Amino acid sequence: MAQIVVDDRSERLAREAVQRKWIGAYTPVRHIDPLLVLAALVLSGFGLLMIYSATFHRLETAGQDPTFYVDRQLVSLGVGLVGMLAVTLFDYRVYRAWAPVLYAVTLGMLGYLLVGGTVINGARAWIVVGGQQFQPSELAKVALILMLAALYHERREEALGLRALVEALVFATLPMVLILLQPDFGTFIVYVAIVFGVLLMARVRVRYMVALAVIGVVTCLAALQFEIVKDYQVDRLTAFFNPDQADALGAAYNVNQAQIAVGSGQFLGQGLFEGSQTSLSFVPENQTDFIFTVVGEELGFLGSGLMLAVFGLLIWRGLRIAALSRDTFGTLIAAGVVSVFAFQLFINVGMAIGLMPVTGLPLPFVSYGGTSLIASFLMVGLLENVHMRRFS
Amino acid sequence: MIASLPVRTSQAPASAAEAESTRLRLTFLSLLVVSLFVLLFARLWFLQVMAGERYAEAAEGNAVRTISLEAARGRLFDRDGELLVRNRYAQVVSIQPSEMGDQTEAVLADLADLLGLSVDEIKRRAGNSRVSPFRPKPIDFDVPDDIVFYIHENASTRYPGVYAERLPLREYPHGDLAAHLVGYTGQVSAEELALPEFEDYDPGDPIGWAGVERTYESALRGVEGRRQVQVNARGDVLGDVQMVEPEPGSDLRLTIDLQAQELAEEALADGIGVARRQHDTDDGVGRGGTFAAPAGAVVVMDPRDGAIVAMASYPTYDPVRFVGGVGQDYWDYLGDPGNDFPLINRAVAASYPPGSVFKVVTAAAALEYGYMNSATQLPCPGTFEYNESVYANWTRRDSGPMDLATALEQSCDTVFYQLAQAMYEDETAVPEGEPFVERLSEEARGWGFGQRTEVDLPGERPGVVPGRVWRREFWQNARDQYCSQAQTYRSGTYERQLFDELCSPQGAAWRGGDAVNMSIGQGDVQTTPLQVANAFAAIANGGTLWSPHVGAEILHRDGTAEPVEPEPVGTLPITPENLAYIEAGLVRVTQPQGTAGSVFGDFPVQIAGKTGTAEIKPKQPFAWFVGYNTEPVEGQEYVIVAMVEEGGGGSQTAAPIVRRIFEGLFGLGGDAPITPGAVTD
Repeated sequence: MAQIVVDDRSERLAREAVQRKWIGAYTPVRHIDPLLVLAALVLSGFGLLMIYSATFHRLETAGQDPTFYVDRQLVSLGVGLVGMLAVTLFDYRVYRAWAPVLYAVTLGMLGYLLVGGTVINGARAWIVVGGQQFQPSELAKVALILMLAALYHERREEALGLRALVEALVFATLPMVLILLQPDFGTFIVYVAIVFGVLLMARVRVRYMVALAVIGVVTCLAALQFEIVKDYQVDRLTAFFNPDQADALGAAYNVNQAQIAVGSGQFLGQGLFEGSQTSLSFVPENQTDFIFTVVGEELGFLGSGLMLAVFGLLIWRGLRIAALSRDTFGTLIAAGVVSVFAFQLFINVGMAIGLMPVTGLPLPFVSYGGTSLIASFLMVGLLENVHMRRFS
Repeated sequence: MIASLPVRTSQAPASAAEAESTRLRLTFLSLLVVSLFVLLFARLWFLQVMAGERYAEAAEGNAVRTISLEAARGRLFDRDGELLVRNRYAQVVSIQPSEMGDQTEAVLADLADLLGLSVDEIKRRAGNSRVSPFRPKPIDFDVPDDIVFYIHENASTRYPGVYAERLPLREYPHGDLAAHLVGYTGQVSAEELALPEFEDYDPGDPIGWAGVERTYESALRGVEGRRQVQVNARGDVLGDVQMVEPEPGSDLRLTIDLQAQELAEEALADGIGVARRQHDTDDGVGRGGTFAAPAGAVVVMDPRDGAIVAMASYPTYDPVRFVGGVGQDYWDYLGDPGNDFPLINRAVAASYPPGSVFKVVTAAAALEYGYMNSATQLPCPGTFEYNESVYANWTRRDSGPMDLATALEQSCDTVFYQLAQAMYEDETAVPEGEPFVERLSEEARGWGFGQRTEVDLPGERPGVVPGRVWRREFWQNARDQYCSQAQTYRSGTYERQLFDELCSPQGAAWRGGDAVNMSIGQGDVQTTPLQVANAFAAIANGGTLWSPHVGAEILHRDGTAEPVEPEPVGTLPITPENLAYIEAGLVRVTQPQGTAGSVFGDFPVQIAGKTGTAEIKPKQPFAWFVGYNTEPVEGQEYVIVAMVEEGGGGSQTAAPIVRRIFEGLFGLGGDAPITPGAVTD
């Protein structure tokens, strides 16, 4: 009998081993998407190089440390990586519960901006704490994605109905209004993209979405008509539609100089650190919103194309994660994050090459800017979280 | 509500329809993203590959500024290598107010403080500058280095539109000496830039405007250098991209002798001063008082090769005033008719009736066409009647019959009238349609009159040799003016009659009276002092007409020299015997009994010359004298012309000037003040 016992035991052990193996096969750590993280890291490293190229000349001339911006960005990158890791540690479904809290906190910060915010480049979008600048609207993106995803996950049975849509619009409108009041039109557009992405994947009726689009366009026109939009923003739009007529040193200056810089890169680029327009500061803000001009000038069509390809990889992985997600919540998170990356990329690069009007928006991962970089890595963490827990 | 949701909810199995819908929407989202990427790639392809070169050029234009570096112009030397014009480099501060925008007042106030000038003074200097609108206007010269550096350092922030440059400037060690020969420089004008010969000039480039500065512009100019600097978006200069040093222009050695030039200018000015103190004893219209003598010219030439040894024109101007751009006030002064146009080089750029100086041509025609020879004589009555007009001799008394040499010596007008009449009538006698030679005109052209000598000086006038063809063309151009002028006079008056006649086809006729007037160098004939000098140089050298020149050789910076070869342009249409006969007459002019005897009678060197007193009614007569030494004096041979507008008689005013210059050139004293000669013709 002892044999049987032994057999029982060994059989059990074997069965347990198989079970463990099966269970182990579904452990999140074994389902990390390495391409996603790789794409984000490549873009960030690339960004550091571009920031250095955009700034070292100016800093050296001013007698400052040429790696000043790069050093600061490296710190943010570290924080972003830690944040990404932290986000992936907990099952993303936990965030359904925390989404309203995060949403409320970021909404509070956006509200605080109106009274206690610091104005940079015309927008009251910054909180300065101990010498560190911090842009709440970047974090609020993450919060809004989670909030809308959680809402539609909850309402997934009645997603086609009007009630969920109204709730979603209320949640979306609150931060968007606060951002418009800063005013930060570029970020506002990104929020529109988030709402679009989430509503689309939440299977909201097409007719509602069309109706929303119509209302949105009408509202924009009304805003222009009744001069709610700031003069400089109208100037930028005018400059976009009529670059030749606009004052060459005024509103159209950025657009013209950016296109000259990008165009002069030609196919192979002027060479890393060799861009005259970049090093001679012909393009303003070229370490932040106009960083693509550095890419275009110094690395040419080839380098720009490669960078876009890496973004393509990142977005493809995001869309794939949206498709593979085990639940609506994950799909909607992925849809929101993909919308942020895709539209922000398009708007940012588009304005540097004359496809879009000039709106202050960073290029995710690449532009200098701590909050943006950290928020981007948090979103990568969310995507990764959805991906690695698609079986558990 | 949502916060209270249970964390773990089992995944509700999605219906097939839901799954299908999600798949469709995801496809839609993916397609949207793909289309955004396609847009970006398409636009990038256009910008960087299709239009890339254009943008690359724009980028270079953005970042590279080209500063042209003015080349120093070549220097000018006299025949012995004495420096006449050189360059110096000066720190010049200039302003371009159009680049200051709304900061003009602030910038000017700041600049005034820096330069120690008042804002009003800066504005006055900038407003006074006749600099090309393309170039900044110089407001201060010889600015100390530290101020220049200060301006450079703060150029983009505090001094927009302010330039501090090191510029080569013309410098004249001898002041205004030989101003008309040297000329002056200016900045190339918009009209000039439109011409093909100035295609390699940039707006504002310096260019010779007068004198040899203009004729030898291509040699003197040099090649502009280029400094390409990299600038940033603020316009700060960051460093040199390329530096091409300017190549200075070639030097030019002139044929003039500075001592002779000084002598000529002083003699002319003194002679004019003397003339202004002489009483005009004539009582005709516009006559009387003292002589106005507003202007004059002197040419000193070597008859052996046409080299100009000195050339003076009065009044003169100061080329120093043109350095760095002539001021409006000086420019206005130069253009004011009350100042007799000092910029005109009257030796070449103005033509006058030569008066009796022209009699050598009439004499030559008479000899060559057989109207006289050394043995024949013609009477010299006090008056000469022809076609109901009376032409007087200058002495108004009968001097009896005389040969041609004596007619030259005495400058007997009536002898030449008779010759002109004879020639005219022989020409008119030729049947209609038959060819004939206009003897006097043909001879005059053979002596170089009526055409440019092609001297290497700008603005040369061809003068006028009148005749039948000339008269008809002149009438065709002037007819309308004659006709309209006729209407301004009452019928019956002399003027009405005259203009009515000129208006009618008769006005086109070359008449005997015209020929008579021409024979003594009056009426329509006009010559420049240089043409007269050139014609007499040909007598002096045995008949060769040279193209006069003031440039001796171009001295290139590489040490090679390019001589300006003297160019013979023709031979006088006269036999050596006849030329010698004329010269003999001219020698007698300066003898005690000749018209210039009062001036040259005691002169130790034999001078062959001719006086001239050209009547241009209603002005006072223009005084001429031209003479040359018949034998070399210590190897020197000169032909000297002096002409004084409204200066009185040739022997009275012009001959003393020429004598003074000969004295100086031959070292024959000449410290005494110029004294006027006797009034002859």
